[in-house]
Amino acid sequence: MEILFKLFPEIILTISIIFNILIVSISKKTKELKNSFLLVFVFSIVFTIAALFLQLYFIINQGDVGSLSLIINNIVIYDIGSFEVISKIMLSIIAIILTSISSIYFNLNKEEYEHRYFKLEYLPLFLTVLLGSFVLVSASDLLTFLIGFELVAVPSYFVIALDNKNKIALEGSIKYFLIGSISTISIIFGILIFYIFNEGFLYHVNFSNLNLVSLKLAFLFILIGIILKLGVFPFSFWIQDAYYASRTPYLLLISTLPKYSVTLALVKILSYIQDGYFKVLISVLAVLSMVISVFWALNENDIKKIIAYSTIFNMGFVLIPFTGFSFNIQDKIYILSLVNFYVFQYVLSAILILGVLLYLEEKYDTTDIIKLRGALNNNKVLAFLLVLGLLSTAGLPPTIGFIAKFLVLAFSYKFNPILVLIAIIFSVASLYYYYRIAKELYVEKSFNFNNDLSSLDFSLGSSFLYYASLFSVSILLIILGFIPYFITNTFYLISITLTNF
Amino acid sequence: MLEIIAKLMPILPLFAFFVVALIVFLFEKTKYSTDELKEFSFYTKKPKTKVPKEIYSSITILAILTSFIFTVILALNFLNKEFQVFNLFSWVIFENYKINLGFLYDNLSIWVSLMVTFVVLMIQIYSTGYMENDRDYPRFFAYLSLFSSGMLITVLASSLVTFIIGWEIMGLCSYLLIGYWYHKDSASFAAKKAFIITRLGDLGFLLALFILVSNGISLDIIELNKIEVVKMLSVLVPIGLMVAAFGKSAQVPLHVWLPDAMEGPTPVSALIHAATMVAAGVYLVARVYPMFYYIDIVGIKLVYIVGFIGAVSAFLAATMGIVNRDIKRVLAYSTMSQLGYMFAALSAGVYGVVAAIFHLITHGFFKALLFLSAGSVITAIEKAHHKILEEKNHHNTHDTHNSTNNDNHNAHHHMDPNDIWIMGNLKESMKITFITFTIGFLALAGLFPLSGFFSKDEILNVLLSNNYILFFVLTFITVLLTAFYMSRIWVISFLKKITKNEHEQVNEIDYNDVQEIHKNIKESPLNMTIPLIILAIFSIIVGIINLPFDFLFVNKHIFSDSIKEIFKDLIHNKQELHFNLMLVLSSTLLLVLGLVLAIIIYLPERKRYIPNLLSEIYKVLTKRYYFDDFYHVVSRYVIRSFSNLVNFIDNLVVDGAVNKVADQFHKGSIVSNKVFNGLFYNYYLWITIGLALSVLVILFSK
Repeated sequence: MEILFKLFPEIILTISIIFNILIVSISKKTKELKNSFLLVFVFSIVFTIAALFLQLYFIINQGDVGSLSLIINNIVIYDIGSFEVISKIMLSIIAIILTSISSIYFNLNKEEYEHRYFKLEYLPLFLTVLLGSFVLVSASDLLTFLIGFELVAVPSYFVIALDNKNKIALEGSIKYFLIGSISTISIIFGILIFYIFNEGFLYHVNFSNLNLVSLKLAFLFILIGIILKLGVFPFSFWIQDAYYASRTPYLLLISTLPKYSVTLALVKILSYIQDGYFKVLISVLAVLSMVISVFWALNENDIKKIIAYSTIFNMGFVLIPFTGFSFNIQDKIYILSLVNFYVFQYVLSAILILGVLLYLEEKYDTTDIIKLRGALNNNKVLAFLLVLGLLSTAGLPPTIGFIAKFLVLAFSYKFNPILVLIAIIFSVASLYYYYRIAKELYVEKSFNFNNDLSSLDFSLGSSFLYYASLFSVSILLIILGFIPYFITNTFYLISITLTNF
Repeated sequence: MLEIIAKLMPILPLFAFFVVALIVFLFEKTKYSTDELKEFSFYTKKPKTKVPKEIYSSITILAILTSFIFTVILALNFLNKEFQVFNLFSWVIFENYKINLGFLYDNLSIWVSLMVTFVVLMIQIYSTGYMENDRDYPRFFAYLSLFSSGMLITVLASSLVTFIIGWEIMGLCSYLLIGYWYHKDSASFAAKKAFIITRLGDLGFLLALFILVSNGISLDIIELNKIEVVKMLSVLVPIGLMVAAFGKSAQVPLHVWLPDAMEGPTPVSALIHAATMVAAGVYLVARVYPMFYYIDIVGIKLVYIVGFIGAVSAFLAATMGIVNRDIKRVLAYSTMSQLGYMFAALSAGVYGVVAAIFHLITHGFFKALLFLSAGSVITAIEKAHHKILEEKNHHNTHDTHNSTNNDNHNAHHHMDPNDIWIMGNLKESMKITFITFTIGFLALAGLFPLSGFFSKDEILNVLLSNNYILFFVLTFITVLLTAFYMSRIWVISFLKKITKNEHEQVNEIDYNDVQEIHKNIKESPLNMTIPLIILAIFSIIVGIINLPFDFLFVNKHIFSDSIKEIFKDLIHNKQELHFNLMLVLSSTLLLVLGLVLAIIIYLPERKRYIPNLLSEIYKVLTKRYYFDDFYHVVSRYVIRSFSNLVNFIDNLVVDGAVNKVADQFHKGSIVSNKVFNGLFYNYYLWITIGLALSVLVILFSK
């Protein structure tokens, strides 16, 4: 019974995935089945969150470092502490937002559905990614970590390929899979070295002492596997192709949930490391990511690719605080919470931009800036949301993106001022392409669009959830931009519990 | 309960603004064409509001009335007690540095907000009559409400950030209200001028804020008034605040916007000049007085600089007021002059602050009264003129209707209803306005026992007893000048029967037209005259709060004691301010002299308009000491040539560099797009290289 309670969120998700797959295989897309399908989906997420809050309640009641972790023979095999539970709540909230944005597809009738690339098979895959994220966050040994990692990665390849009449999508899916397999190979290789030299898989047994060259190498391979998923140059090549290939509702999934959960896993692994020997490597990768991504994006016309490059830029940016990584425990806690916060806010901003892009792609069947010139002239609401998302991604006040960039730079300045200078210069350069999106879509005068393909109704009444979720994200971006201490403190506190061992 | 009231009081008019804006947004869809805008005048078009227009004004009036009642309640509870701070919101920038937004209720802010809410209430009631036929009735009341909220936020600010929020709301509203008739070029220019010049001053405020924040000094006013905090302030902080105060309160040399600000509707002028806006500058200096008192620059105390500018402004403004023909502009100069008095008084320590704030309050009442009386006259003339035009139109045939219509409008544009030389002998037709204006003017001049007498006398007394001879002499002469120029407009517009001969010397429009207008002039309606009467009563009696000597049943200096309480740290010597009979008699003598002089010069029929002897001085005065020309030259030549230089450098150096860099980025972008070209083996290669290099880096780095 105790195990049931501890693993309740994961169990709910698993059952829901099985139900969904059953329904998909039975159903021939009739209306009734689709409704029951959605019902299972929505209920599973709601129950998951409820279970998570229940767990949080128990953990807080236990005191400062309370945890519900599964322990066998004095070895923690599955972490459920406040860091894990709060991270899972954040992930579930992101999942809810994504679902609400995609909800615009849910009330299509059968004929419309036939003509859409959106498939209901997306939903079990989506839940699998969520489940994988949970496992990834809770993992306390490398094998569980690998399981979580694959649970996140594999559905992402399929999701892109759901649009199976589109050759680009299939190509992107295969590319994503091939390069994703490199990351898996890298991680498995790292685990192998660990196991040979350390005879174990547990994080805190293995990573505590990194003076051996073999252990350094092992950690390096795992790290590279992780940053390959995050998209740091030169391990970022899948990212523009995968982004370009996937339709926006799928892009919303693959660019948000896996990014955040993998970051959480990275934060967790790094919390066991006391040495900063990888500083040089990290700073080189950070600089390369920021420089090259800006060069790529300057000449790019496709919004999805620009978002891909912006992802590379931001992932380079988030590596900057690691240059301060050292034996100092306070600094380490700060770095971990900073990275967590930065990726979280980046994911929120990306959701806002992609949410607006969803509308554009549905309506005009293109994401090319030139073809979309003036597309938002008459839609001030979405233009506002888009600009807000761009502001936040670019790191301008009064949004949360500004706070995150500012905190990163302010912290890293004392460790590596040159890197901070480069980051500032290329942040300024990156403003160009963010501004360009806003300018072409809203400021420039409209072409005469006659290819309005959409049968989706984007009016405020019939897509209430779509607008409500985008608005709540935008309000969050602004409010947290003014009062960031609420969320940064949360991240700081859970990072403290992470380093208590 | 008190806390809620205290937090709500300054914000209520702001709510009213939003409510009016919301109703307008929901229900009013009237759009005016360009032609309608051009032919518009504020009495010719009936407003076309869908919602009854009284609803708008009653919302805002109700809001300010509630604010006034709240202020009275708060005054009864908090006056002469320990100060109260009600914090609305704290913005944490760093762990231990907070920026607080809230309201501070102490004796100073309560006294001033009592005056502000009351005068604004009167002005709003008056506006229902004055703006009765205005096209944009709701807009006017919305702005008025926003403006008064800005002033209340400023007055009650608990920190400099709250202060600047209200301050900027007022800056915005002054722009909106001066340019209220924005289709008139002169109004939109005046609005821009006011905004830009006060903005110049505001730079000082921002500078002060930035210095304070970057030095980690709290922005709370209570903190800033502590002597140990003041001692470690940079000298730039009070200088910045001083410049801001001069800009807002229209002191030399940042005064040039004030006369032009008369382009707004008259209630706006009353609002800007009496209760809000310009008073904020004086209030700012008084609010953070210790830093002005203790900090000096090259051995000169800052308060002396404040006092010097004030005294000079008082004198210059009074001289400029002598020659102006526009009744509102003369009143504007008198405002500037009176503000100069207040700044001069601020040089003299705590007693000076008491005198300045006392004058600020009495001035608020009688200046509002004067402006509203002038507005009553102006609107009466406009109405009469309009009536005549309508009658003419009525008689015309349909064929010539259009052309005459245009002619009439041209004729209207030539007539300036503010001109005192087309008024003349209004005491018969507008009895109430005449009486209220007379009371206001005598209060301004400072005749015993009107309120102006007490406050002005206190300022002169405080300057004399501190031996500030220069400031004293300037302000003392200004008493004569004030009496003279105020009597001049009073005599010409209300008493004098302007003959045809005189009229043709000074006016371009036809004498018969003016006579016809005069026949049609009627006293203003009740909703305008009642506020006038109330304000007149208050202008007489408000001096009672701070009688300079024991007077009948009032044997306590209610006002000065409570203000002194705030700055009790600053009082070094126990020297008291004594009543100076000689000073009172001599200033009264000067006043009577000015009055008599004006009557002698202007009441009888005059052969020549100006005596030749004085024509040179007259020219300098009408050119306003060439201040405007100076700014014109500066902006035209100095700033423009500097901008040309900057432009050149910008194009050549900055843009050149930026373009070069951007070109390089662009080229790099093209190259990189070619290198990473979407082929899978290419990707594989790069990833493998990256992996290999990473391994090398890790193996060979420490």
